[in-house]
Amino acid sequence: MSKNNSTVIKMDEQVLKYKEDLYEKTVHHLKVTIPKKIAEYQELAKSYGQNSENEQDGQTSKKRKLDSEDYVLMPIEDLIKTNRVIMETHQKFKKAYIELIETFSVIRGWISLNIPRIEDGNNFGVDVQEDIITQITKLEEVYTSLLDGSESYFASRASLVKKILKHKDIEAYRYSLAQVDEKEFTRFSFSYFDLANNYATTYSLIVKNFAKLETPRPTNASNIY
Amino acid sequence: MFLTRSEYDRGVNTFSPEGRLFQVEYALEAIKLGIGVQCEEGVVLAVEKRLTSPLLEPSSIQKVVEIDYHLICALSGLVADARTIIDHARIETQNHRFNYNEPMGVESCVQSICDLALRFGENRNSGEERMSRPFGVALLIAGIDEKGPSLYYSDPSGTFTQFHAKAIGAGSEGAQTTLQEKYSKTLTIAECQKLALTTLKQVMEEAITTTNVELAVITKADQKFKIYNKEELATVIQTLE
Repeated sequence: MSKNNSTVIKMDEQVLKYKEDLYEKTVHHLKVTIPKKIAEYQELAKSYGQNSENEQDGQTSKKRKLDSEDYVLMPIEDLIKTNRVIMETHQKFKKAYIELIETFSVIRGWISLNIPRIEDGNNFGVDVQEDIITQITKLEEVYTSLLDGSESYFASRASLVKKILKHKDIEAYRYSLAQVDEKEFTRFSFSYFDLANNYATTYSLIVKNFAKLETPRPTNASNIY
Repeated sequence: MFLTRSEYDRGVNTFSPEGRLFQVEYALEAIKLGIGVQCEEGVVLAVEKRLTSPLLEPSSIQKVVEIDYHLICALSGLVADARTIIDHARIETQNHRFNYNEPMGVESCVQSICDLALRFGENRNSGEERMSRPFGVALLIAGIDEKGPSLYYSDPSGTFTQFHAKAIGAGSEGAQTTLQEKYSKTLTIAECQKLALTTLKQVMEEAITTTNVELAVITKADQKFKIYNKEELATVIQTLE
């Protein structure tokens, strides 16, 4: 190929369409999905936080926590079963984490595709885009690692149950099993709160800077040259 | 990623490798909303006034100012910078009247304004009246001369362009598209007013009232400008709904 005849490569139609698709999804997420999620998790965080208080009212909801005493009296056959409520909640969290990752990776994808050509100045908007991408990536990493570590509770519980089976007369192991379950419950309440919080902070970050994310470089400079 | 990034956008007298002057580009960002529409009969200027407090006296914010009888301009951006420019323009037009005993042409006035725009730089000698930075203000200049009514836009870079209808400032892309769709050369001055205000209304965050917009016209019939007062503005706004 001769020097004067360099090829011009333009963005492919399909790639542009993909970007457009991501943009529409992003707008939908920002307008509908995320605000709904925030409200939902806020409610759930509240309900988990109140659970222990409700016990005194004699409410026998499915989510009622067992006392440490119950663990001591519980027959071995029941004890070796996994805690149903915790398992169900775990499933719910898994779903929530995957949803969060999906939602934000769509937004991240759109912002990444919307980063303009590299230039040597007027990069404030681009910095904003890059900063928000890092924030979202961090958030995604946090939740991916949470998904990865979801079996740790079950593993530690299993080893405790093993010990209980081995030393049937040592009561303290039963107490510690109760502690493990209780700890997991407290964590649920915090996790819901964290979900609501993370959604809200990232949402506000994106919404406040949306103009910059959309058009990182001003378009009105074109007629001065 | 790039260590050299944003090294060129600090100095007002350094070109970037791509041949751009970033300080001038950044000055363009100071421009806020304004709209101008020109037709056969005259020119209409409409600007938003930001009233930050109800205790603020609206008449003290002046966004459309007189340069001469036949020349007005709507300013958008740093108001203080605009005063320097307008002072300069007023002197120029008066000078012209004094020397040639006729009103100054619109284009020559715009040119004299833009002469001022690039007189900035870091190496200033004492006594020389120069700015250390570009002006942060854009002007929509409306005037009438022997060629008829005309509308000019001058930006911080000293570039000036003639327009039939122009929206400037933040969020102006949408407004400019509306103007493009609705503008036709056969509009009457009343229709121009309506077009300017409806377009402004679209991009403004608050609802249009008699205090937060300023409207001025300059007509062929009068050969003189007129800045609308509250009552006149109210009647125009009423026609919008």
